[in-house]
Amino acid sequence: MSQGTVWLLAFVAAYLAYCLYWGAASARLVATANDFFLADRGISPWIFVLAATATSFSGWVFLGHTGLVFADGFQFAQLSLCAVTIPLTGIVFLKRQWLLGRRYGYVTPGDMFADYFGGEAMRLLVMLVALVFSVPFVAMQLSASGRLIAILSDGTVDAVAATWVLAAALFLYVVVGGLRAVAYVGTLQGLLLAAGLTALGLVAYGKLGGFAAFNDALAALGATDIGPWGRTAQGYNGYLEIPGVIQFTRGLGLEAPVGGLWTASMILSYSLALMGIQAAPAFTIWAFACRSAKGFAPQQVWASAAAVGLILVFFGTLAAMGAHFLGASAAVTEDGLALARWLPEAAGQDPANLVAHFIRAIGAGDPWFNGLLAVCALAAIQAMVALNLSAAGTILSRDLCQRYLDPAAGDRELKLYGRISLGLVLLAALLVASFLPATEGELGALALSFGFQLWPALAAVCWLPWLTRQGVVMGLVAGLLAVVFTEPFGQSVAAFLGFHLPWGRWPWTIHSAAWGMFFNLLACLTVSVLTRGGSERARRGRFHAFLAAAAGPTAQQRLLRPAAWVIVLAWLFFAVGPGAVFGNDAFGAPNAGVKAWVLGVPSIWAWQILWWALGVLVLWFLAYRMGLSTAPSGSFETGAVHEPPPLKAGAPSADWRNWFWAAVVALALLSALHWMFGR
Amino acid sequence: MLTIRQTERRLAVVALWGVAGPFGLGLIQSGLGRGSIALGLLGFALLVGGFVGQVIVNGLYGGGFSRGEIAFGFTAFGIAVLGFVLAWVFDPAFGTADIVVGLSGFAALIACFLVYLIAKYGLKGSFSMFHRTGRH
Repeated sequence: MSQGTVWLLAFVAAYLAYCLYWGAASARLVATANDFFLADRGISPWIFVLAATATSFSGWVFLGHTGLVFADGFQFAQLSLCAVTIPLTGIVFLKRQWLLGRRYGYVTPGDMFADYFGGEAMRLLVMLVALVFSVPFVAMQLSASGRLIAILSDGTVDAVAATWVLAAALFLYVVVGGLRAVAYVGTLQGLLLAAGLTALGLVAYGKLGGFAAFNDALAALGATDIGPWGRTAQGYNGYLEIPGVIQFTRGLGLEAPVGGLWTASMILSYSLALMGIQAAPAFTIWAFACRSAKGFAPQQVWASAAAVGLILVFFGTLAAMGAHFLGASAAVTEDGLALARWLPEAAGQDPANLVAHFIRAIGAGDPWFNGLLAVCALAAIQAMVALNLSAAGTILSRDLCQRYLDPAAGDRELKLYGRISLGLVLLAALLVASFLPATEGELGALALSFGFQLWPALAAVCWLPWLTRQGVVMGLVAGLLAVVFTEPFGQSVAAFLGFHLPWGRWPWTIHSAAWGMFFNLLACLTVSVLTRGGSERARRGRFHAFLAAAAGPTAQQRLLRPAAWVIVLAWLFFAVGPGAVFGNDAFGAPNAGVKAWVLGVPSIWAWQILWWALGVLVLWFLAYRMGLSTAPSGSFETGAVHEPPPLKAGAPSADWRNWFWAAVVALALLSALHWMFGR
Repeated sequence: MLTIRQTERRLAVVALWGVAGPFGLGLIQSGLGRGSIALGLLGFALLVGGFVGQVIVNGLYGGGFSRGEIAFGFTAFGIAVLGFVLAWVFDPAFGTADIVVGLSGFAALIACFLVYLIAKYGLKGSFSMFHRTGRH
């Protein structure tokens, strides 16, 4: 066993011991079901800042973002600005959800939607979104953690075995400590995520020989057509240019876009998908669990946009693009553009695991860091997994078990149901990760887009009383279907049924999240217009009257509202929208060389830095000046315990036939999934 | 049993040192191993940052260092100084860069600690504190 593997195992063991310690410490504070599900609504602001940042960015930023920037270049690096767009969802919705949770005592997003709309359909749909978000997404992250350990231990540790062991430790601390344990462990995970990404960037900087050498190398790369996308329609290297505003292709799998996938419309629509992270049910539960609203603005502005944005825009780009010149890219090395041969070529052939190869290369010289950086990546991955597991357990326990199966359940039973539910979700995720990798990929692709489809529902609850229950439900169903059929999962289902869809994945270089939202809004607005008025309007008005009283804008903020709209829309247009293409050559043509680059770096990178800095200002303006994320100044009634009205038909569990048919349907669904995707 | 406030203070301290400690020690080790003064000093800077961070946490939660933390801190510092001295005396490969890193780093930590004592208790108070502690 190499020295690096010894350090790896030592650090992983120490990290898992830390997690288990805080799981046990949290368990001592768990008495009621609310303690377990919502940490008794007592998460401190600073804990929320760190833990919510970890869960917002998690392993997909640490591993996935870096790998994709390496694979697709600066056109994908534009999505570093997700550090601004992800918390934008939080700015719009988090404070108002927190207020509603405090006032009416909601525990799950299903409670909130069912109470607000006065129907059960939204509760069931949210449960579906939560499960789709949890099982495949957790599976993807768990298998990534297993692969990471396998690579870093030089194959000494088997990937599947590592996945199960890490999942077992994670299960233990979540199952005993509940959401409080997730939050407590999340603090260190947030710090490790930031420290690890920064360390990777700094090491890359050192290995590249500084900024000047790196930019010279980028200039040389810009003069070639090296890269998976070759040259764009404008004749520039695809690594250094966004390939147009939109390309009317039939979709991936049928027609490849010219010069790269990441057109401006793709960047915008993928940003929307990422905004689904903070719209997902798990984040609503985060909001309900906070002691006060004081943590929202610092998390959104300073921790996410400023800190993580800085790390992604500078260090993430340095590590990912720098890897090309450190030996990971065979074509770059063959062309004599490499500055060092420090990374193995295998790293370039496997971009999804680029970070693992990066850490391994660092660990070859400094074995200590093999373990430490691996733990940083693991912590990033586990942050989101833990939150989603906890949220899934909470939702299944409250919205399924208590609502439909055992309405008389007390604290003890609810905690038990929650623990069993999260165990089952984790088991399902592990089985998918271990035995159905194709299913994992296809279902996992739905997760973010599904989360984003909750935007209209959240907008209705928080801002727009004229959106009706029927409209929101129809919109959500339409949106989810549109997402499914613009992703590989829907293609597979259609093909299985004998239909061959005339489009591929993400037609017109528009992500499924945007396709879903188009149909979602179309249905939602049309049906809302047709079903407006009536007693339901007055019912919804009660919630909005409370929100207006507790968090309504001041006179000055009302005056600033038009300015806020203009600023936000302008930022979205130029940073992640069609205007992003101006960045291709605004500060010098990509192939003109360093001397022609006005700021000494590729124009597209300078554009990203500029709009990242402006994005921080925009979020600051919204969160603080517009008061969208500041703590409410007045007081309001709290402490209510939410008791949903009883179901008309009674608990379905009372009838054994319901159990029988539920088991038949579940088995049939599992068999169908395995038949279709178990390859 | 710890209250939630005490638990959160402990969490803040452990999370802070969970990052500053391993990264600081790792950089010091890398600095000493490669004879890189910058890396070594960066490692000590992280440890100083951890100490300052804990002082801030103590201030926010309205308390000082616990007895366990003081004991752990002095023990770890003592072992590190002892290791440094032994390496300086017995390790023939221990070079000038290693000495510079070690002396500067330990001096920075001591200075930091003294500044903290003086800021918290005043010049006379700091001395009296040790004096009293010594007598009991």
